[in-house]
Amino acid sequence: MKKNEAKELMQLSLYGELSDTEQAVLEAAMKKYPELKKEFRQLKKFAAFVTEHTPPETAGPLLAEARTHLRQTLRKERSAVSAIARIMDFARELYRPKVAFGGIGILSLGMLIGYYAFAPSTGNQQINIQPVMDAGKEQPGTSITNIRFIDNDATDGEVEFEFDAVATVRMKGNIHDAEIQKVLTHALLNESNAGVRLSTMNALSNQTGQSKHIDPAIKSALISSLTSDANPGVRREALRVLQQCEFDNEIRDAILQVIARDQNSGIRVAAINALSIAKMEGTTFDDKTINALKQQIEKEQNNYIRNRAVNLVKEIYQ
Amino acid sequence: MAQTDTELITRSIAGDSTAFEELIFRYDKDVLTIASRFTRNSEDAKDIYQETFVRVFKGLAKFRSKSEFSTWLFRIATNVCLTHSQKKKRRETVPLIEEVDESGIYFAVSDTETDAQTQGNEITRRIEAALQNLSPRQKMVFTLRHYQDYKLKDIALLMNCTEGTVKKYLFEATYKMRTHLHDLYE
Repeated sequence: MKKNEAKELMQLSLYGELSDTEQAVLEAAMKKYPELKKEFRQLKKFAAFVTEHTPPETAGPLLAEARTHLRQTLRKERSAVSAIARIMDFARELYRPKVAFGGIGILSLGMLIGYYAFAPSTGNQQINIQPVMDAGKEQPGTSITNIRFIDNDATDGEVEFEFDAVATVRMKGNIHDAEIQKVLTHALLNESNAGVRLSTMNALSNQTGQSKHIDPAIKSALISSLTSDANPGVRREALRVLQQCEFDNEIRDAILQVIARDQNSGIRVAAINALSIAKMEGTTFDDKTINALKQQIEKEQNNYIRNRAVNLVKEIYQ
Repeated sequence: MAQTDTELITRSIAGDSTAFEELIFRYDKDVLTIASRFTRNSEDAKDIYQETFVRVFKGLAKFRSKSEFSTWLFRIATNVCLTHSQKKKRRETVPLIEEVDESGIYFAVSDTETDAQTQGNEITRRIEAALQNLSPRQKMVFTLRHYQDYKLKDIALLMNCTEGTVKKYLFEATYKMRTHLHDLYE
């Protein structure tokens, strides 16, 4: 055996990757070439050095942060998938012969009416392109940015450019109004400032305070905030608002998810308390809830939370 | 009783997001650890983590259970690590004007750092520098073998190559690492 081949076998021997025969061959080679023994010692030292300086396993906070971000990413992916699915369903629906012929018929009729209603006159035609915004008539509160020239040659007396006009919009309306709720839901899910998310939550809290029924889109946004918002204050507030709503399986599942996965012990306690209050208010819990609580009792590191969960299970059985 | 991966996969494909989370949270710590040890950078590791699980989410319906779910998942993670390092290399640019600290003084260590910490940091820095000299595939084999304790045949499975190729990468990586770090361990 050549020395280089023996060196390769040495490394594999360190990892326990040699068969008995190969190991015997290596040992024979080391007896034959004494310098290989020194090389083997060096290799062992190197392996021990690398092992000693192995980077630590991923720390909990980094994993929690990655999970939170992943949940947000997956939520967006799911929305995109469901939008595509809706379009596909619609397309399949259209593909049915009756619907397709009906559609073609309506389209033809529309084109016919359009032709007679808006047919061009026989006189001279002038294409009239309305400017996006008249000069000097800028809307108050609008800021103009990012001007891009399409034609800056003014020799013919005209220039053409486009720009972004950003305006502040003030809305005032009933909290039950669909448009208001749409904006608030958007803020809840996408606003980067946690303070704004919290204010939004407070506004929604006032709505739910009046009635136990809540708009499904808002409930869904609140559940998303409860299970995946990065800010514990926002999660806590989402839980408080959801507690004011009619308790159902969706809310129950979200609360169980918090008990099992939230990194913040205070919020886990609040989630257990929320189930306890629901129990006192007459909600009955099924095996799923009880099993989830039992699992939590087994894995929970915090003694207080474990005892709280044990008590809750007892309350449910009573 | 805990559900098997196959049961969770079936529920996930049917649209059960809780099942999907339960499934991936069984393995995500290992994925993040591999990514962290490979990149030695928590931001890059998080990017790899995200991309891996988004790919898993998108591809789960096509997963045919020919292999274990974990093997399939770690194969994706390994692939994302390798492509991430290529992408990062392409993105790296040289600044037109080098920023210079006017004071001309750099504090490499804080005042409160102990001798042991300083030594530990220096060794870590040297190991990281040595790892930078490896190709992405050599680095991946070295990481999986030395830090994750994977067998060579498993590494071959994850990297979609032969065991012989894995050995070649490992020998090359070990030789380079030993050359760069010999003064630290000899």
